[in-house]
Amino acid sequence: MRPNISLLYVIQICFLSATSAQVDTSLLLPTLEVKQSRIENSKVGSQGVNWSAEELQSRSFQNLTSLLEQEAGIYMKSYGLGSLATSSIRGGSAGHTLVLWNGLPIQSPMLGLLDLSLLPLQSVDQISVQRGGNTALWGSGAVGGIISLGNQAHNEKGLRVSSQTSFGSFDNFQQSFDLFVGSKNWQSRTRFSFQEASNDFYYDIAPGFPQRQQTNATLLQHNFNQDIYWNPSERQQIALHYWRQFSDRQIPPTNTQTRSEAYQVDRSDRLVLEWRKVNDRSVYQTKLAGFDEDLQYFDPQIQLNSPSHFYSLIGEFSGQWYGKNGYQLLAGYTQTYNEAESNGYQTQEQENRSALFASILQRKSIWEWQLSFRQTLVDEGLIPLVPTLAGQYQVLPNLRIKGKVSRNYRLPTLNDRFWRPGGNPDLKAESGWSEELSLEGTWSENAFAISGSLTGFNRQIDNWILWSIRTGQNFWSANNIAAVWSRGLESRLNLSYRLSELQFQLRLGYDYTRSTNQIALDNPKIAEGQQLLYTPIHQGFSNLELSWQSLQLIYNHRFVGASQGINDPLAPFDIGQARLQYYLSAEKAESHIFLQINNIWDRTYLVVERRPMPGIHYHTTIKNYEETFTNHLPVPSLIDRSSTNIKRFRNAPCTGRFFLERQRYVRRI
Amino acid sequence: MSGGFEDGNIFLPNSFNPEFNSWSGWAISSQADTLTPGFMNQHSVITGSGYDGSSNFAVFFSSDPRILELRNEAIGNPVEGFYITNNTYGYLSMRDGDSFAKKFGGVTGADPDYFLLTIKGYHDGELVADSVDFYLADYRFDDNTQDYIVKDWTYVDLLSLGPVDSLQFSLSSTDNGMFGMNTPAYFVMDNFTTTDGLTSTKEVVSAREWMRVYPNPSSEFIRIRSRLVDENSFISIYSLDGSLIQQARYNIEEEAINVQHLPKGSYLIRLETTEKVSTQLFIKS
Repeated sequence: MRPNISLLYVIQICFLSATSAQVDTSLLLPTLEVKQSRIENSKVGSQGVNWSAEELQSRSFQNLTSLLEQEAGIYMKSYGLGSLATSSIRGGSAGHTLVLWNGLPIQSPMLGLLDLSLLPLQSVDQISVQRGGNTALWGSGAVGGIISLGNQAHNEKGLRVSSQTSFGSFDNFQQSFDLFVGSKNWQSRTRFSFQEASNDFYYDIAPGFPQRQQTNATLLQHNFNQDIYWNPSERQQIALHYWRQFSDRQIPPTNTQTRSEAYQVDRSDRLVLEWRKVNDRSVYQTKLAGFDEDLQYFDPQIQLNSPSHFYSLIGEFSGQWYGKNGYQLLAGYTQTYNEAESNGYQTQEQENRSALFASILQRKSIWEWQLSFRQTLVDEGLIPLVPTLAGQYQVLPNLRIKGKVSRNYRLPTLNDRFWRPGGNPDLKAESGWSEELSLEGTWSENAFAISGSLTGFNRQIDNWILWSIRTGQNFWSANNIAAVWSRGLESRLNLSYRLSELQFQLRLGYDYTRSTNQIALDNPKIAEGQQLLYTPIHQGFSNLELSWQSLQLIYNHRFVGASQGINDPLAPFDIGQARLQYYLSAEKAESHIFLQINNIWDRTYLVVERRPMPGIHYHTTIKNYEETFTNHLPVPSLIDRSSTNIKRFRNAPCTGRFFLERQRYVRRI
Repeated sequence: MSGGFEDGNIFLPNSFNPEFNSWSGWAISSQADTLTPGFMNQHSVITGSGYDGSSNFAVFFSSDPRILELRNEAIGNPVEGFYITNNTYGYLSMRDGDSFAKKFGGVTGADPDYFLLTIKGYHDGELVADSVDFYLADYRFDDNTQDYIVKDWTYVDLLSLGPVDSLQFSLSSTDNGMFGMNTPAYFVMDNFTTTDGLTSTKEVVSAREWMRVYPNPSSEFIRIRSRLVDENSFISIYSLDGSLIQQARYNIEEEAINVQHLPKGSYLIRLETTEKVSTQLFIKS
């Protein structure tokens, strides 16, 4: 079956984000965008949030950290403006969130995490966040959740140029350029972004004391992306994705430190080469990737120079087969070689990871189920088989139930295994079972729509790795000594109302997360039943969007409950952000103007103790597009489950006005 | 690996892991950099020299209580006392803060912080009831101008502990996290004096003044020139953890010592005569 061109046009330009609408089994064969299908397929039984290319364009002045905090309600452990930021999903640690780029993990194998503050939204076309574990499909680290970043082809013929300039408080300046060129068989997209900021904000230290100014906090960062797509035939695509990141950041002093001269230089070069072949009922995909990164920490004051470097080579082959009766089968093999060097290692250290994975999925009109497995080999050690069983069922037209049971693991990092002193090459993987159950409801009448969900989850992780001082040792070492039980409730409520040209949308979320150590330890000092560090029990967020013609006002308010830091307890705080957006459209060009006010109520708060955060501050952004498309290119077939929404917008023009329309119908859970 | 430094009638244990090059307990040092913060400068004393201008001193490092053992006639007798100060790393960390530890006084300068050394004695295997406290830093004064961090050699009197066989030293601070004390767990000691009649050890003299080790660094041999030598002189080579690696009688004014067999690294060359002792750092290249 071959879908019509106009439908393809709308989907490719405006609907590259898949939503969670009902499955329409009448559409479909796999598409050249099949790389997203694996992400889509892993959503069975899960809760998550997606941002399409268009949604990201209207947020492109933000970084990933603020997006995840404000719109997904994810707790970010941020050391300050421009400083290290990591996520905690469902009470997991930073290493329990897997970060994927074009389907491949990009976390440092040395640290097991990725600094999310370094990821600008301009570099990717799609972001998807899934809560809950799915190691069977994605491998080590997919325990608390998955953040998936993707670049994707725009099957267009023509030229599009855009630029964005942003000014903000604390000498923040951002500039980016984006050039897309497409022909019948080729597309190229080139992106460059630059950011600098002094981040020398004033902060309160205590009532009655004068404010103090942050020092040594300058940030310099640039990103370069090149994506090339070549369709040698109607059913094949070869894609190359290259991403260079560079940042040079000063490390500011804590609020109990007189001064700091430390700075950190991060560089990464990431290259992915993909080949996809689409047949009538199957898709084959091969990926080859090379990631090469430096992290250099300098502190001239203490004469410390700590360079580290790693590279990873990844090869992955997978196939998807589409059978009758809604069956899909996925199977693949992935091989990863990591090599790293650091002052902390005695020699260069290497690691080989091999994994076989398979999944069977059945999609019917009112239910879906999926069973997945992964078998991993690390060097000579076999990791126990991990399964995931997920399903969802439409109980009533307005009520759906979802559930998932999975076994998940996180492999020890290279630092855990080889750092001297304390590294332990014989560490076991952290592993355990997770369960989750959700109820989702929707209701709409005329211009009013309401949807909501309630999710309960439970997870036990054993062999949790902690650095500790063991009896008879005089140094810290990595050991499988902890066990963590995480459980909680997540609730979401979305309301929307339309009154003529005035549109209103309110999204509310509240998370209750208990994540407790189950084994008492002396060093570090942990009591049995103690909540994990930097893991608030209560979190809530609200997003209010008001749109009138080309004007949009967005207000976000977050509440983060009390948590415990390494040294001190952290007080609860609430914080608000407001954004005004205005779109100007011409036939072939658009301009977007954004004004954002962060921490609008000028709250004093800390996310990490001793690391001050800025009070009220501002951003102004202007984004311009110009496009000279001639037509849209056909692709052989596609799979996109958002058919309900597609039909509504199949004739919609892709302009700034459209963005507003578009956003109202993006379903969030 | 456990070693230590025996100096007359005391023994300073050192726990050293040669595989990881980490240590705790006691080390002998002559480093005098008073300006560089951070753990890379952990062996320096904030006063710039040992007590009374001497070149060598003992550096203590441990988050846990550690022992100093009495030897020979000192066992079972009271200890007179010793001189103490901060090392440069600890002093500057308390004064300015670092990425792990707080600046004493905290954000406002008013936090009642302290860094305390508690000394207890063991006698006949039992812990003596009395203890001696010494504040290496004290910010508990209502008047913040009186807050201080010790930066001079200060005498600690231990006679109140009575007869002891060994002493236990433990450090505590107001700056603690889940991973233990944030304040660098160091202090520096010199001129430890016992009451057994021999009192202190041999007079420690400045290496700069009395001996010269050359070439330094060296890969094959070193020579030692000194004006101290007498008929009972010994040359000893110690690793930095205090383990004795090589010892020989020194009976001519200048003698070549083969060091080819030593692994690359830093060593202490110690020249000991009937009345004096001097130590200098040597690097095997």
